[in-house]
Amino acid sequence: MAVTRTQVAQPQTGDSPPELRILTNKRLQYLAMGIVAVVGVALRFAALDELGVNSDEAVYSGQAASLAGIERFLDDFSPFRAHPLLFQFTLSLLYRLVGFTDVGGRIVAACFGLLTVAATFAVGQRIFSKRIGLLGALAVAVMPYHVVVSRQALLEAAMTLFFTLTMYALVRYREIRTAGAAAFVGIASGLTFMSKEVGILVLVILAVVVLVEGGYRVSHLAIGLVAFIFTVSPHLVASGIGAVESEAGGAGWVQYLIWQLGRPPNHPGSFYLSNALHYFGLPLALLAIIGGVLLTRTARRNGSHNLLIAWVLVPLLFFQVWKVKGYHYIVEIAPAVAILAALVLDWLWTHRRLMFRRSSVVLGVVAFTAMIWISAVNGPLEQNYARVGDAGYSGIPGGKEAALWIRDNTPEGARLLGIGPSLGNIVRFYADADVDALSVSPNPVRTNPAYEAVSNPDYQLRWGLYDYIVYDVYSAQRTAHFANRLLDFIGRYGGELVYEDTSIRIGEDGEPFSAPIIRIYRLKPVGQGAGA
Amino acid sequence: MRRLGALLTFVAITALSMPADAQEQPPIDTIVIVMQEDRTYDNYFGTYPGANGWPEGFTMAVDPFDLAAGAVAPFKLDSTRTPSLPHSAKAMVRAFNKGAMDGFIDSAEAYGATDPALTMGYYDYRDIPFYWHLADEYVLADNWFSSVMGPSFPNHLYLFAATMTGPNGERYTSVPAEGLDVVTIFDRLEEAGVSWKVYVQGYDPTANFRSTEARLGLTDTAAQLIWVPLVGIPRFIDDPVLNSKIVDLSEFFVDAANSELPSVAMITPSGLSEHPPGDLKLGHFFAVDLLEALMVSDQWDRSAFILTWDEWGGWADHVAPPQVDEDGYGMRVPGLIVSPYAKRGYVDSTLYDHTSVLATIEWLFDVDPLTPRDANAAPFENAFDFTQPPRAPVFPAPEYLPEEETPPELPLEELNGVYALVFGSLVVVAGAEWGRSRLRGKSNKRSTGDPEDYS
Repeated sequence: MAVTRTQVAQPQTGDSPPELRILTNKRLQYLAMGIVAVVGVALRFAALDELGVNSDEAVYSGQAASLAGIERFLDDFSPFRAHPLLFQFTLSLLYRLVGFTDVGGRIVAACFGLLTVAATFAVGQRIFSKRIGLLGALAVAVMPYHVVVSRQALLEAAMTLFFTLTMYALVRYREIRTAGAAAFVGIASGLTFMSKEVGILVLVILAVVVLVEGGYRVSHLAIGLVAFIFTVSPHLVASGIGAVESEAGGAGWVQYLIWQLGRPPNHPGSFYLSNALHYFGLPLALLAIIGGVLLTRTARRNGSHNLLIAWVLVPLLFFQVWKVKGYHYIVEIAPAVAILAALVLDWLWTHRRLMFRRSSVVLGVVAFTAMIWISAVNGPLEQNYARVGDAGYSGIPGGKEAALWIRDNTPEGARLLGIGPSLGNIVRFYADADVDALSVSPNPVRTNPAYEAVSNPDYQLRWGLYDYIVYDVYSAQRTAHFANRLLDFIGRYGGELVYEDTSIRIGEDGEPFSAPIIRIYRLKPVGQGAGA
Repeated sequence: MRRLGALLTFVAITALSMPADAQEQPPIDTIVIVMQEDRTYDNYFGTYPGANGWPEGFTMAVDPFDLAAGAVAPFKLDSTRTPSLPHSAKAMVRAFNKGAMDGFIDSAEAYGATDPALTMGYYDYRDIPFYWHLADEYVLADNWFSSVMGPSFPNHLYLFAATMTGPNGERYTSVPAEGLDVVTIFDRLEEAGVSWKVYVQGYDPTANFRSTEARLGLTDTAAQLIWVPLVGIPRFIDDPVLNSKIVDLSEFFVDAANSELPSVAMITPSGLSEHPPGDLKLGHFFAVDLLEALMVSDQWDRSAFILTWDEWGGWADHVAPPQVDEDGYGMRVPGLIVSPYAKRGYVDSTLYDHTSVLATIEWLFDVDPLTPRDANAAPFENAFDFTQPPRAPVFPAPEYLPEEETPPELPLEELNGVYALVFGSLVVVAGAEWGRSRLRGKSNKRSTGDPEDYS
């Protein structure tokens, strides 16, 4: 069955004029692809290690190091935790090849991000045209939201790639309807899940498309399902081992599930309603909305178009309902948003007046790119020190530097107490030392099973069982109660300031000032008065 | 000229005939000594693996003269606070039972213990994890005896003076009204110009031999006379130079932080000494805090920290102390030797007593012995390895996981294998499919010649 890929945005007035063929000219196409690739690479790889890893990055990179058998990570970063391990496994291969490097996770994530740019092109091209594919790829390549997320050693970069590949596989299946293509859909969706559990949403999207469109062969659905199960089987095995570990006193996946379901909201319910448009940049988001409307109104809408709309709506709706929000959680819809926006630009081009010159078209592409950047108010490339409110947005300011200070200046075995567990992960990653977290609840239902609550901190401090207290602004802003408690401990047990890191902030009067972001205190020994 | 030649030859021969390590001064110039209270080796380390702890199947007769009365095996104590067991010199002699070491329960009962079998109780890593960690990381002495078959005072006196006997043969079992007349290691150090300080927890300068109330134990700080024999010696009270070197413990932390610890620092705890009925856990926290202050000091790299216990406290031990003279030895006590040069995880079974501390000071700082006891005592040479570079300090951890309770290794190989198998096969299939589609694409291209045809 022949399928034409330009079903929506076909020019209405005969052949395209010469200046509109700019992107169908092969050399120019390659040039445009090259520019997109170079921009994508530059934005994702430049100064990748300028800031230290954040808590989640530390955990995933540490798990990868454990998988690679690197001794010092084995105790602190068990791979048998909450998530499937596709990203970590991939990173572990890098560690095995070139040895451990703390920026390795970011390199792998950036590669996934770059491949997503290519996959976006492939999807756009398959559904519509090369031009839309290229514009979509360009949008993803420069989209600050996607750039920021794919510059971090997080699972979302891989998940977004496989989300996009799944969409590509389904479009391809709709074209050729073979068992092999059905298996490709199953494998790609399995890889999405293997990147992060929430990748299971691709199955919801596929189900929506199948149910709305109908006409899919049951045998192909079965093949897809088998391929999916085969692909996710490593996680099933790991979960089985995790369950055994749980019986032996460790933390199994059931405990992680209970904890996830019982987690209190970390942001208001309106989080994505008020933030999502800004993540993508308001103009780009508006273009995508218009693109979506265009798609729903076209008389020639098909399963691929439904797929594109479901790709955006299903994750958005899910995370709107889900209690726990995060900056990076909805990045998997970025390629779909980009393609929808590109669709509108393509429509505008194909419906423009003929007086535009080629230079105007080039200018338009530049303006499109600039628009994405300028409008993306929430997406500075550097993780902003001043903004620490949104989960997953940034790291702990000064976390790496503090961890390295701890590594170089505290004896092995020194015990440190901090506010929250995030800093602990970073210190474990860089310094192979622990920072216990005051805020970890002793109630197992309310606690990430990977963390241990501090039993009777007052007693332990009084008797010198902690040697240092680490106070960080990031954790303090997230839990004022425990931050104040830690400050009280510092005063009561004679904490002596031994390390301080500061950053420049802008005060309410507009004047810059130096504000502490992390402080480390050495506690007074027992015999010196605190406990005696 | 001939004489000079002979002298030079003698010096050369003497130098060459000395062992190599004797020619070089050990790289330790700071020694910190802490003496806690009232524990035997078996009470703390009786179940420590690889050392001379409770023998398999060991039991203690309730009555050594009536074996039918039954026996008690060592048992794990469930509280870190216990009553103080009788531990006078007489009680120790009865427990010793002429070397049979079977009179501990009998002695406890005879001298008024409410629960005589308590003497067979012991602690382990769950109660004193810091000490067990130190044993793992540094040196545990399992053949160290208290110096005197007696209670705290004479043992402390031995630590300072290697004797409990005055010049006229008087036996010091407490501080007399006129004060003690003994030569101490601090006299030797003072003569040799070696710096020293005695740090006393809760130091009270008025609690000395001239205070009758203190001597009679009527003041809160009276125990200072037992644990700090220097305050029972007139010259250390009257000579302002000597007296200025007896200071409050708080100075230790300041000196350590400023890297101004003296060459010999003797620490005498008071309330946190692990003496029952006090909570030994708190004393154990305290002792490790002292060590950690040294560990973070710049002096760590050339230091040694010696931790021991003064006497048995009424607790049982299975090793009969050798009787080297009329004073002792007394019961076996634990000893921990911590230093950047200490052998790692080494159980040192050299015969030591408290005067081994003095012998070590004499060896390190080249001062003369005080009595035959310290002259014949072994210094801690065997605990050190000076061929190794100084080790970075390792703080002991408050949780101790014995080897048998260590969780099994994670099945990482199996996990890696499953991932590699599944993803590897996917990569192979994808590669084959890609190659096949490339071939098909070329073939289609040749047949249609239309790159835009995606049929």
